[in-house]
Order: sequence, then C-alpha cells, then structure tokens
Amino acid sequence: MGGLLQHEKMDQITTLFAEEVFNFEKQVIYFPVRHHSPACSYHLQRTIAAYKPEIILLEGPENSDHLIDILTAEKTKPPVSIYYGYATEEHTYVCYYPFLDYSPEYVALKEAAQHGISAKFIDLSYGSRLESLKQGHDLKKENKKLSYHDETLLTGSSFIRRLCEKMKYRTFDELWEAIFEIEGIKKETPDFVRDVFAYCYLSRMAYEDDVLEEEGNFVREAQMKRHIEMAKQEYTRILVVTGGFHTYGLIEERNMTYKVRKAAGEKVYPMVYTFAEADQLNGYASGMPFVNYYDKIWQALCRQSPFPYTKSNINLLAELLHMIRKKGESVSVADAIEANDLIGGLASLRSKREGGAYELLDAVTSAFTKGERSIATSGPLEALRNIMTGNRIGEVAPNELDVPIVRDFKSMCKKYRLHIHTTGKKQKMLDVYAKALHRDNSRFFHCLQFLGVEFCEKESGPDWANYKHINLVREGWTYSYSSSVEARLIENSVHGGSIREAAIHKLEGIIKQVPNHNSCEAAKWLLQAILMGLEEIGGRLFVMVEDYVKQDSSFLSLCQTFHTLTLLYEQKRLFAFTESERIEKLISETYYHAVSKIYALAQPNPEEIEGIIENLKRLYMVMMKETLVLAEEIFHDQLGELLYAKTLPPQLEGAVAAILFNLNLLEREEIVQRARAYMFGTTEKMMLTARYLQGVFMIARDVFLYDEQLLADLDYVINGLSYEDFLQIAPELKLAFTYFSPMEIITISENVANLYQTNIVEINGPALDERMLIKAKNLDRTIRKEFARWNLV
Amino acid sequence: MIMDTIKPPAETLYEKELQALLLHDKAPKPPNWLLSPKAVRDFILGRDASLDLNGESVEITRKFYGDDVLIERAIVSLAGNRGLMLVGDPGTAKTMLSELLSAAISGTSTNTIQGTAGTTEDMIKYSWNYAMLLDKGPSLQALIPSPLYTGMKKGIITRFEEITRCPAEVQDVLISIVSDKVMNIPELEDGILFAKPGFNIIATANIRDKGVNEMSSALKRRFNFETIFPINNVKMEAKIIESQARTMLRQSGVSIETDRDVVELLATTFLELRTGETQEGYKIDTPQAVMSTAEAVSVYVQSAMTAHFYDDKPISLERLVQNMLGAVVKDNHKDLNVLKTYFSKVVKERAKGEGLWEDYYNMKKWIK
Repeated sequence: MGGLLQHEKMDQITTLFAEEVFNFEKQVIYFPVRHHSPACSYHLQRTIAAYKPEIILLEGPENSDHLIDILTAEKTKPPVSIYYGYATEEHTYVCYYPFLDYSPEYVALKEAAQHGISAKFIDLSYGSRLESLKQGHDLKKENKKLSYHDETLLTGSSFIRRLCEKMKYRTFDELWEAIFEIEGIKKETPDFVRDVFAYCYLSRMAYEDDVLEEEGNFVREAQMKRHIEMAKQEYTRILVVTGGFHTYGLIEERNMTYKVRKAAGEKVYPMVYTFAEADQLNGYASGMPFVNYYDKIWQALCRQSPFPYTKSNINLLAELLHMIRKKGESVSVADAIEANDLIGGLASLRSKREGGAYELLDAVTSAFTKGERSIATSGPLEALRNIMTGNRIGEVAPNELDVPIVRDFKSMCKKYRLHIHTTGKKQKMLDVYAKALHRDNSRFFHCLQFLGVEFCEKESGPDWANYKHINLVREGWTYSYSSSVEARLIENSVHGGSIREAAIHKLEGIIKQVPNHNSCEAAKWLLQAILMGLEEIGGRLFVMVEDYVKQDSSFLSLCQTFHTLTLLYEQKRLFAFTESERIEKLISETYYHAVSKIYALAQPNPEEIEGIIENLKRLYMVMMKETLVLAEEIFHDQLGELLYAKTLPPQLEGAVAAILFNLNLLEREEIVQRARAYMFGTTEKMMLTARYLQGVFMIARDVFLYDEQLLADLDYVINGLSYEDFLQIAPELKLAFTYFSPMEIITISENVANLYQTNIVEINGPALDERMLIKAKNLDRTIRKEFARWNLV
Repeated sequence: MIMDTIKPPAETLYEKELQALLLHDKAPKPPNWLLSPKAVRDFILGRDASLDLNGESVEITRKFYGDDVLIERAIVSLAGNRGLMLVGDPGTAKTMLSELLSAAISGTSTNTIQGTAGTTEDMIKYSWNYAMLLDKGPSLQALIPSPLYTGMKKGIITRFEEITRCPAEVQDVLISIVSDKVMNIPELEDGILFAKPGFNIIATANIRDKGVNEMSSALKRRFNFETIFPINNVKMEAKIIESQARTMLRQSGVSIETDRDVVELLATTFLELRTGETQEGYKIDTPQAVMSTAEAVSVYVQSAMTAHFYDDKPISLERLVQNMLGAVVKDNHKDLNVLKTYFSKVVKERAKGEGLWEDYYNMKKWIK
C-alpha cells in the first residue's frame, strides 16, 4: 500500500502514527479499527496483551456502560446487539449496535472482562448526536434500519474509489480483504495498525470539513476527547478503540467547541442479533459482508491455523456440496476439487497469499455453473452466498434488563414449541377446532400480528374478518425469528409486560377512536379481540356494540355488524363465547335496525348498490338457515315496499324482485314482466335490461333457466339492436351471465339451440369467419347474376 | 496498412505485444505455456505502462472490454483440469476472446475445430489418408491429425468453435478426452496418444440461437462455463465499435477516421434496442434480431465504406440508417416496426435538443 502513495505523504503519516497514535510510551494509544474485521480483532488482542492497558475506551453509546457485564457474560453468545430507542414527541428512532464474535469492540470487551481491565463506551448516544447538530433532524431516517456504525463515508471516499481502480479490485470490500485481512494477519501488529490508520486518514482527507461536521463527526469526536481527558486523570495506560475514520479526529487539535445537547427519552437494551442482519449485503451500512464466512476465519485464527482462509474455503465447499445435494440437485466432488484448484490459481494470479471470499465466489461461479449464467443456473452461487451469510441467532444471558415482553414471548414460543433458535421460515399447522393448545397458539399468533411484530403470517385457514374459507378447520402459519422481532417487541413493551397485556392496551387505544354510530367498526374489533382470545376487552367491546347499534343509521354498517355477530354466534364453541342468549338478543336487535332501513334504499349511492345487494342476499340466506329466530315479516314488507319505489335502480330492482320470488311473495311472471318492461321500453330503458338481469341473476338464476319466454324476449331484443347499441350493452350482458355455473351455461346453450332449431355443438363452435361470409355473399351474387342471365330468376 | 490476409490471427496482429510480454515475463508459468497467467491477463486487459522491446516502446492495449474478473477466471480455468466453455449471445466477442487466450497461452490461435451441423467424429479426432492406408496399412504416416490431436500432441490449446452446432453425439467424443487427457487409436499398434502438459480446450457455444444442440450433462461437467454478457455501457460500447471499425476499415484499405459522435449515436441505438430501456428509463420494444456490438461494428463499417466509395464522405447518417435496416430487420418483419417506433418516440424526442439527433431523425424516411 505504501507503494501507491507518494513517499513524502507516507512518511508524514508514519511519523504521526509512531508519535501520536500508537506510541506505547504515551498515556493513551489509539487503535483504529474497521468494524467487524477479524484481522483488526486479531491484532487488537495482541495489542492488549502487549500494552496491558488499565482501561479500554470504546466507540459506543456512553449511556450503555451498564450493559457491558451482560454482553460479556458467559451465557451471552454473539451475534448480539445494543438496541437503542429514542423517542421525541413527534418521532421515534431506533438504531442498533451489533457485536459479532470477531468484532474488535467485542473482542476488546471480552479481553477486558477476562483480565480485569475497565471498559467504557465514550461516544455520544444516537439521540444526543442528532440533537446536538444544527440540522440533526434532517439526518434522522425514520423507520429505517440504522446502524450506529455507519461506514458510508469511509467506504465511499474518492480516495478509496481511486485505490480500487488502480489496484483492480471490484469493490472496497475486496480491496480491504486482500490488503488487511489476508495479508494483514501476517504482518507485525504496529505495521498493520499503521496501514489501517493511513488508509483511514487518507479517506478522511478526501472530505471537506463541512461534510464531516454535517454528519456529526466533530461533535462526536469532541465528546470522545472529553471522555479520554477524564480517563487520563485516573489511569496511566489507556487504550482507545474506535473506527479508524475517527482516530485522526481524536488526535487532531481543533479550536472549535461543540456543545452537546443530551437527548431525553432514550432506551438501551441488550438484544439478540442475527448473522443475516449483520451482513452488510443486507443493507447494514457498516462492517463487512459474508458474516458467517469471516466468523469461520476468526475461528481458524483463534486456533492459530497457519492457512485460515484455505482451510475455511475447503470446509465451505464441502458444506456447499452438502447443501446443493440436500436440495436434490446433482453435483459432484469433482466440482468442489476444481473450485478449490481455481481458488489457488486465482489467488496466485491476483498475488494474494491465500484465496479469500472473492476467490471462493469466483471459483464457484466457474466450476459449479453448468451452462449460461441465468436464474436457472445460479442455484449454487445463491446457496454459497447463503452459507457465507449464515443463519445464526445470538443469545443474551438472562439479566435484569431483560425486557418482560421478550421474556413472555420466549416462554410462549417454548410453550407452543416454536423454533426460534435459527433464522429461516418455518411452518406450523394449527388444528384450531380439535386441540385447545393449537387454539391458544392461534390466539398468540393473532396477538403478534396485531402488534405488528413481523414474526408470523397466516398462509391458509378461515378468514373470519372477510368471511372467506370459513369451512376450513385448520390454520396454516409461517413464522421466522429475527432480531427485528425482538426490536418490535421492545417497542411494544410500552403497551405492557406481556404479549396479551400489550395487545389489550393497544386495542383499548384503538377503540377509543371508533365513533359511536359506527357499529361495524366496533364489531370488527370485537371479532379481533375474540380471535386474540382477549376476553377482558371482549366483554367491553360487546357492550360497545350493543350501544352503537342503536345509534347506527347506515344499512351497510348494520348489516356488517349483523354478519359479524352471526359469525360469532355460529362459531361460539370455537370462540369460547358463553353468553349465547345475550348475543342472540343483540343479533335480533341488529337485524331489526338493519331491516327497518331497507325502505330508505330506494335512491342509493351508485357505488353502494353492489354492497346493498350482497347484504340483502346474506340477510335472506341467514333467514333461510333458521338457526336464529328473526322477524321475517318486516323483511318481507320492507322489500315489498322497496320494489315499488319509482327511483329504484334496475340492478337493485332485479335483486329485490328475485328475493321476493324466492320467498314465494312474487310470481315468476312478474320478474319476466319487469324485464320486458325494460326490453320493450324506450332505447334508453332498453339499455338498462342487462343491469336488471344482473340483479336477478345474483339472487335467482333459475328464473332464466326455466323460463323460455324471457330467453325468447332477450333474443328478440338482441336481434333488434343496432351494431353500436349492441357494442354498448354487450359488456353489461356478459357480466350478468357470469353468475351462472358451467352446467347452467350448458342448459342455457341448449335452450338457445332449441330456439334456433339447431344443436349445442354448433352453437358452441367457433363463429363463422368474416372472410367466408364475404366469399359466400359474392358467390351468391354471382349465381344470382348467372341465373338472371339465363332468365331463371 | 493493407495486410495480406483479410483477418490475420491474433498472434500475428499482436506479435510485438506478445514478444514484449514474453521478454519481461518473470512470473511462474504452467508447463508449456508461452506466457504466465499474469502476462496473459495483461495481454488481454492491457497494461498501464508500455514495455520495451529491443529499444522500441510497445504499448499493451486492452483488447477485451467487459468483465475483467471473467478473464482471470478463464485463464485460471485453462491452467487447470477442465476445459473452458465460453457462452453468451451472438456478437459478444466469445471467439475473439478464445483467439486471444490461445495466442497468449500457446502462441497460436489457429489450432481450431470449426463446429457445424456436419461435423463428424473423425474431424474431431483423426482421419486417414486412404491411399496410404490401402498401400501401407494403418500407420502414423497415414493418419491425418485433427486440431484436437495436434493440441494433445504438442501441448497447446485447441479451440472448438460453435460446439453446440455439432450433433450431441459428436460433441460427446470430447468427454473422455477432456477428463482422461488421452486418445485411443485402436487402428494402430500402441495407438494411445497421451496429451502433453499445456493442452486444453476452449470451446465457444451459443445456447439460445436457432439450430443449436443441447450439450450432455457429462460434457457440461467437464467444462467450466463463463458467460459473456453484452456490454451495458454506451461509452464502452462506443469505444469498442470505434476501435474495431477503424481496424476493419484499415484492413479493407479505406483510410478514413471514425466519427466519435456518430459511433456514440449508433452505440446508444443498439444498446437501447437490446436492453429495451432508453437512457431516460422508458421501456421500449426490442427487436428479435441480435443487436450485438459486432453487428453495430458491421453497420458502421458498411456505412463508412458506402459513404466513402459512393458519396466521397467519411460517414453519413443516411447510409447509417440504410445499413441499420439490414441489421435490425432480418427474418422478422415486425422488427421494422420496432425500429420505426424507436425513431418516432425516442429519436424524435432527442431531436428537439440536439443537432445530430435531429439529422438522425430526418433519416427515418429510409425505414419503410
């Protein structure tokens, strides 16, 4: 690397480094790191052993010192992270400070704990950093996953870009791996640290001061300096471990003073993290990609393996073979042997001591791809990437800071035998009718969904809210655990100490907003509460529905409430609903209120017509079931009145007439007569025939199947239509006939065939080609002419 | 400069570069390789600093534009146990890359089997001089070696062009030869030819084109596949069109300079029609015809030559559009409509802002 820089500049950096940064004679030494770099950790371990510091100061939120003991406890297994939440009146922000086994900061914490060295975080907390900046609020990225250690400035500097171009590396990560990870571990520690410092220093120099200031670097560094000064009063040997980008900021003399404004309402918790989320490739803006890969390298380094990369690559290739075979795809050991040879060849071509992650990827690309590279052949490469990222989830030792809701969640998962120790989607089938435990599990899932925890999703089973698939007896769920689940749980901890409590509290907040004339909204939340098994609030919601029904004047809303209530009544065993009489009474009352609004539907909003017909149909069907005793007469009277309203839209008219016909309150002739009234009316009215038929067919399709008169009339009307009128009416007519089943369509075809004295085969055959018609017409004309010539016609 | 041959092989065309690289090559080489893998890479991707060859400074030019890492993988593959299979759309410089690799590794790129639907097994392995065979019986003198035979005997690269055009059973002749590196000649006593170190095969294949055969899994297993994707960068494509067109024009004895603006316009049109997306990010229809860089070079060369011979101009947009028509509209007439729509939507829009695009738009009259 030195060769790439002008000697003078490099000399200057070397002097600065030897005197100010890594001078063991001084009270403070600075160790610049790249977050999650095994090579940095490796040399940091050596530095700690050689320098024997009394205190280690780390770049991390200063209000998190109390977490150090938990993070370094025996039972804590990385990946873990510090969850940091910060809430102002308007916004909530969350950020993470992840630790992997091989993160230099974590290695430092562990070493400190092991050797009885003090350790302390010295950086500003995220909230204080934002509050202390002039335009701090513009920096905040709400709801975005934030990393405490954002390395965008470091990796995106113009210096790094030029270096990559010059040294022919595809990305900064490849460059880093080649120079610092593979070569770096063979270097002497001071040389390695000097190189890291030099590269970070030059990256920093690529930015103007105002960019650094805007991002909050100066204010953070000022605070870190304050902590270092304080430590100097007490300790004689201090080791400062920070991102390399800040090292120069800590030794540089700056005349500016920066005022820190502490943020209020901050929360910090230790929480588990996952490899998948720590991977830079998944959008995490700091540290290195391929978390599992470097974890293996770190393990090899800990074992003092002379060729950590070579050995890990071979193990990963074997794992890849196993994984591809498990998917049922064919792959041979020869491919892995070839890939291993390629890794060696590529490493030598690229002048690397050993082949690293990029050689492994290139080798697999060449040796495992069978054919042109496309989605079809990218399986092995995808599998390798997954292996290199890994699916490990960490563990946090039990502690007092353990968030109760997370504890509750975990104990529930244990109770329901849900696997939360690896990432990846898992399935769970719940027999909600047969097994009480499954019923409880379903309620737990519904609670989590309601809380927005992003843990589970229902894939199949009855959808009570939308009245779909309600005949199904089992629910199929998928679930997957990740640190974001834990983060969402911590966010929900403001609502309560257990999942159940949180759900109740959140639901209480929601129902306060429901206006008192909107009974269907109240009924919807009642159903939700029951699905979640929250009886406490269910009772209150029931009273609310009882009250709101009286004040509700909307037919549609009342019908919706009616249907939700009948659903609860029908499934009272599943929903453990005991007050049968009370619900029956409420259903009957809701029914009365709904039905008594029918007469007022004579001039409905056009957008609501379909909903009205649907609800009338459902009212009629519930009545037919006779499971509930409902006053039929009022329904009949109201419908009868409605049918004679002059302003009734044709669609609704058709539906009402059909319901009345089904109830034996109207003759079939009347339906036909009403249809004829449209068909033989003025052109404008005639165009409404299709709409009327739509209404009829939605309820009573048999009218058309067994009434030849209606078919004949319709045929007459269609024959009489002009081409333009036909085009206009065709879509509506087509829609009307979609209500018929295939068998019914065959019956209709037969009727049409009879009408034209032909058979069904001919009717259903392809239409006559226009060209053939023209040809026949021409032929006809010619024959006529010829006959005329011979005086035959 | 007019050459004796229409298209000289890579080792002749870049003779000096190869000599200079050889002179300065100190890196370790696989057995029988002319250059080390590092020098092969430099030969194909170019070097920043020029090399001295007997007092003359020789610039090592970049000959392949695109994925540099692919070149590294290809070179390392050839040093290993498996053959190298270059696949990709037509006109993505597969053959050129295969020639460059052979020239740099073995010093010759002419040891080539040209695959067709009529290729037979003896064209791949060996055949006989029947007069001698009848006269003296089977002997090494009567044997006519194939390029594969020669490659194995001398320890050099054998190029197999268009392997997927050969029938699948003929392709499969290679299976045991690639894995065992040995060829049996049962007609001869002791008829076994062991391959000398340095032997390997570079095959090029077109997978999606019409009239190609599927490769057997066994054959696929014996090759490392490298897919060459079309270039996705106007500036780079323009650079290739310019340099190749210049070379081709010189070889044809037409000494005219290429017009950078026209080349860029041509590259833009080809890239947009190939990818189905304009620079502004709008979706457009793509023709069925292959809109490769090689096709763009040929359009430019033809246009320049027509303009040179008939109009006495270095290039004209009129000729460009006329020739483009032949490239785009091949066996599908719908492609004509695609080109027309491209002009009336994309080119027309750009014509508002720029002079050259306006002239280009005015040439739409030829698309009919």
